[in-house]
Amino acid sequence: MPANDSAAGSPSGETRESVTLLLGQVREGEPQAWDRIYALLYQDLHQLARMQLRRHRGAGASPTSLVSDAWLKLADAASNAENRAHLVGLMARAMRYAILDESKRRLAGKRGAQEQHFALDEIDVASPEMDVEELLQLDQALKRLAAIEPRLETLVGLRYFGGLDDREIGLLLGISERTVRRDWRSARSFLITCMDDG
Amino acid sequence: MSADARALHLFDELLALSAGAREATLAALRHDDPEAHALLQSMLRADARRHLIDQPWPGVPQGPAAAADDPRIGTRLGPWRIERRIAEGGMGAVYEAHRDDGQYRQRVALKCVRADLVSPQLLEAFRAEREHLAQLEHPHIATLLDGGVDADGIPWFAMRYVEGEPIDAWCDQCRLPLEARVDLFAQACDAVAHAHARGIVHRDIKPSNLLVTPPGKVHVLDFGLSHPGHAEGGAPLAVSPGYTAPEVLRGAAPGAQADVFSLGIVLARLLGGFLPSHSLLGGALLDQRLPPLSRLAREAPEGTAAWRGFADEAALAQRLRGDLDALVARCVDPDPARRYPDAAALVDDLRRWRAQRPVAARAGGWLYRSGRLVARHRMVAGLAGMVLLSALVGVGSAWWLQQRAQREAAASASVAALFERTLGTAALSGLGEVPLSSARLLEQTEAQVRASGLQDQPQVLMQALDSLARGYAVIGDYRHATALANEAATINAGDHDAQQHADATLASLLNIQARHAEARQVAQRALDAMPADGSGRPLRVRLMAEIARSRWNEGERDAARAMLEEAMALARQEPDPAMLVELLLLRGDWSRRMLVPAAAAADADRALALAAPDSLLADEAKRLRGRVFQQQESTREALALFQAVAESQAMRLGEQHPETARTLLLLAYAQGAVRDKDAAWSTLARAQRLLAAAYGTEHVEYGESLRVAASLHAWVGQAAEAEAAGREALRIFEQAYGPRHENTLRMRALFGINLLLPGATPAQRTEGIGALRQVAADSRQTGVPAPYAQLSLAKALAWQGQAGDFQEAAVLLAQAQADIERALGAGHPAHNAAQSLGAYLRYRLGDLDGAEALLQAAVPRLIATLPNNNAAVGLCTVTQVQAAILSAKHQPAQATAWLREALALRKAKPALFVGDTCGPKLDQAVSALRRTGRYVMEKP
Repeated sequence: MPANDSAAGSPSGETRESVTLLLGQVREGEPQAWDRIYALLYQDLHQLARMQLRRHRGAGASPTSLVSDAWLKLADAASNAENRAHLVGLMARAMRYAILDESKRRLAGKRGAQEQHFALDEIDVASPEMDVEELLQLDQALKRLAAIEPRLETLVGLRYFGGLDDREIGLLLGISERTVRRDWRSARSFLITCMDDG
Repeated sequence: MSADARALHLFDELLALSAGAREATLAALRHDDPEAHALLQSMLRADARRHLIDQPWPGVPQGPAAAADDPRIGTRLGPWRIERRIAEGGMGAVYEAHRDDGQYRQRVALKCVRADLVSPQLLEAFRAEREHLAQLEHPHIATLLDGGVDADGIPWFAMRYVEGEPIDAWCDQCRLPLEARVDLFAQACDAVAHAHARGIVHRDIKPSNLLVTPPGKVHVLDFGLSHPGHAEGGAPLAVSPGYTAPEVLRGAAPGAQADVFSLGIVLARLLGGFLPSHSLLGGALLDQRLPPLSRLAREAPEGTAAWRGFADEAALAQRLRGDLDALVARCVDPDPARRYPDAAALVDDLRRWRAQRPVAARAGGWLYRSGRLVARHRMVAGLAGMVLLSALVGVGSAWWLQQRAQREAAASASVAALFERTLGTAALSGLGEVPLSSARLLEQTEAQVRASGLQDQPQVLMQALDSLARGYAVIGDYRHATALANEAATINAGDHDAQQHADATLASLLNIQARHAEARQVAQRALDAMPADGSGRPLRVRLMAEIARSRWNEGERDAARAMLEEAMALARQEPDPAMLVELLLLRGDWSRRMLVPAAAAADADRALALAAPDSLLADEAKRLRGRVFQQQESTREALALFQAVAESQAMRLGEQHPETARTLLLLAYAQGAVRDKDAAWSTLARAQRLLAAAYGTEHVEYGESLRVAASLHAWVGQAAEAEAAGREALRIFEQAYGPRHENTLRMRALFGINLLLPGATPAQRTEGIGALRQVAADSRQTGVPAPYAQLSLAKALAWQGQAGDFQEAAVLLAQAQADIERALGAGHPAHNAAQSLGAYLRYRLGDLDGAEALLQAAVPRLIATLPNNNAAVGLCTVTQVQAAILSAKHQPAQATAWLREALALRKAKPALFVGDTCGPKLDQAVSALRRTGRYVMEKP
């Protein structure tokens, strides 16, 4: 990982072409191709996670720009819906792991505690979000869910880490919005239960 | 199945049951499956409550560090003292500040760019942006009051402080009905339209940038300030998920249509309660068409209908159906070309809806098209006024003087930068996506500039003239443009940056005028004068491209290529691919000329992929691709492309524009090649008129039109006219390029070929052969491939029928065939034609078996290529050769049978043999066999 966080990962032409090549390999059924795509984006996504967990001003490029950087690499290459769906799912998963990896690191470095405070009178105040421990619990819960219903794990990943809404998830997975809502209801109950139990 | 799985599956079922049934089932479960039961109890409890998991992980930086920690608070920037931080966005922080020089209290919102985002490129873009934005004055635009660069070189700007509600919150809180919402929204559109008319794009329209103050006045904030540039590699520096147009997310430069998209999403929010995606990943799905507004309204959150004065969502949807559906759809179409071209068109339609007149969005093509053209001219009307305004604004304004100390003189801020922004830096030759002006407007502007007494403001004058030159170049008045560019470049204003820009314009124009040596000198001088720090990349690339262009046309192809590669390497580092596109097109054209169609096609395809869709550069890429198709004798494909490009350019540039004329010329030739005579002639006539008007009758472009005329004449057998036109064309080219230049060789080859058509007089033949011999020799020396010339010469020598000629012909043919095979492939019709000629030569040299082998390979390929000029001629030749061989082998019956078969084929499939002149020759051969029992082929 780069020492200098302020250098926004820039998608070079080569990376974009590598992704294109790899997507071609995916089409040909090459099993490692998705892993390699992920590896290419790994760095960007970790930077993204780091930005999101940090609260200082001047922390570097905005997380939104990093996501769109990574996406740009892929969007051109993902010409068909199938590839695109796969890519979005992959990115959501990647973001999850990146966020979790970063969270674990922070926990180990005991810096988590400071970052939870934010001034409540700021206009742009966010809705409260999970802290690091809760994120790790969520990760565990997701693993449990994946063991029985991997489909639901994907859905949760898209919704929670990817920020997609029900309509978008439906479009992506090829299911109706109603199904998405129903599935989400089941999944979230399960996950909350797991997290409560600890 | 594990307890987890059991619980999960049962959960769904339980929810579907009534309360009583659920109780019962759970009771039973506690007994049968305690593990699952425990889980289910928890799950049901969880279902009833809220949890952090319901909110997605935030995608934008949240919760800024405590404001008290911000080091800027309490400091000064310019005359403003920073009091507190208001917000933090992707680009930087926003502060509230007050004027601190004791004059009077004025409250501003002050924005500072994030330190880590600052780069020389960004600063340059900021500087250019700011100066135009300062001139945006509109009741609904939050005025830009001040701006500058702090001690660390970080840009900042101050806007009038607006305390208001975002437009969506305002509308909902006031429970405004649809009509009132549209009226409010229209205020915002007017503001954006005002900016579009001045060539300024907002780039980050969203509700939080559209604030409403009591009693209902809209203020548009943050014009263009949110994205002062692109990061390396093309990703926009900050995007608002859901509001950003899909093409912008993919790295395209935002245009007015991107603003229209954002406005459309806001409108969908105001009218239908639509909540746009807040995730960028979701934004990637926006390529799919958004469902109609009325459908979205039906699924809108609770309260949506009530806040708009409807009983329920169905009633709201009903009201939205139809006109408003179409209106919003036209804003948010994934294809930018299908949206309203700018905010003005959108607000016009909104007003139509309010007046209960039919909206253009539903009227379809024609209104949309004409609206687009009108919008374009409207953009220019503002421009002409701006030229003078900005030229004068540079003088004496206090703020500008403030900045002067650090940078160049105030004048450099105004005109050239304005034109750069509005004309776009895309095109190297001055074209690209430019708004067109009428000659009259330019003349008026020029008159104004000259009358405004700018002689004592040499920088301003220089840039005004340079900008005008580009304006004239854009409309195709190259002569006037060159004169102005020359005048601009020779003003000694002491401003290096402006000087180099003026030189670049002049070099482009000189190249267009085929004054290549001069162009190179001007460009080289400018390039040498550029600072050594590698800054000013776009200008550098431009200059290098002009030098490359000049060198190529001066015959120094290796140097040209080297320069072009260097320019490409730099251009690749630019976020906007337009420069790279033009360079690819240049390289591709060179490949085409050197008969390497595969490389040319690759470059053309790559250029088309990179170019903005429906842009002028995309048209040029298609045009190049068409020329390559033509070279590969895929004439139908070429025709289709030229047709499409001609229409597109006629619409964008106008029917009179020289670029349109150049495309028409290509179209005329292609039409002639498929024997659509009438169309070809009328197209040629138009093109010739326009080219004469634009370039004059001494210019090589006009010469090209004569070349096409010569071909068209030749194809209908008008040898005298063909000769006259070809001769004149050759003269023009010789004068422009000299006798040995690649372009002249091409012209001479065509001239020679046209002199050798059937029915040519001996004098013409002699001259034709002479010309082709010269071409063959020159091309060998200069390394330019000329297989068609060699082929024609070989054929002519074979026809002459003298002993020594056959040997020479065979040698030429071998060379030509090698070139054709390498460049165009063994299946190419020209190759087949070469083979047929080869068969004939072998026959004449007495190698009957060799001849037979060749022609037997050639015949099926030739037939498969029909209808085609070359193929028909080749087939005629080999048919006769075969008959002659059979006769020589004492097989007259077979010879006759063979000829009869050939004749029957022509009768049976006339479509394949359109314009074929072989029939009579074959008849002659048949009658010769009948009379004498022998057939000897004299001339093909």
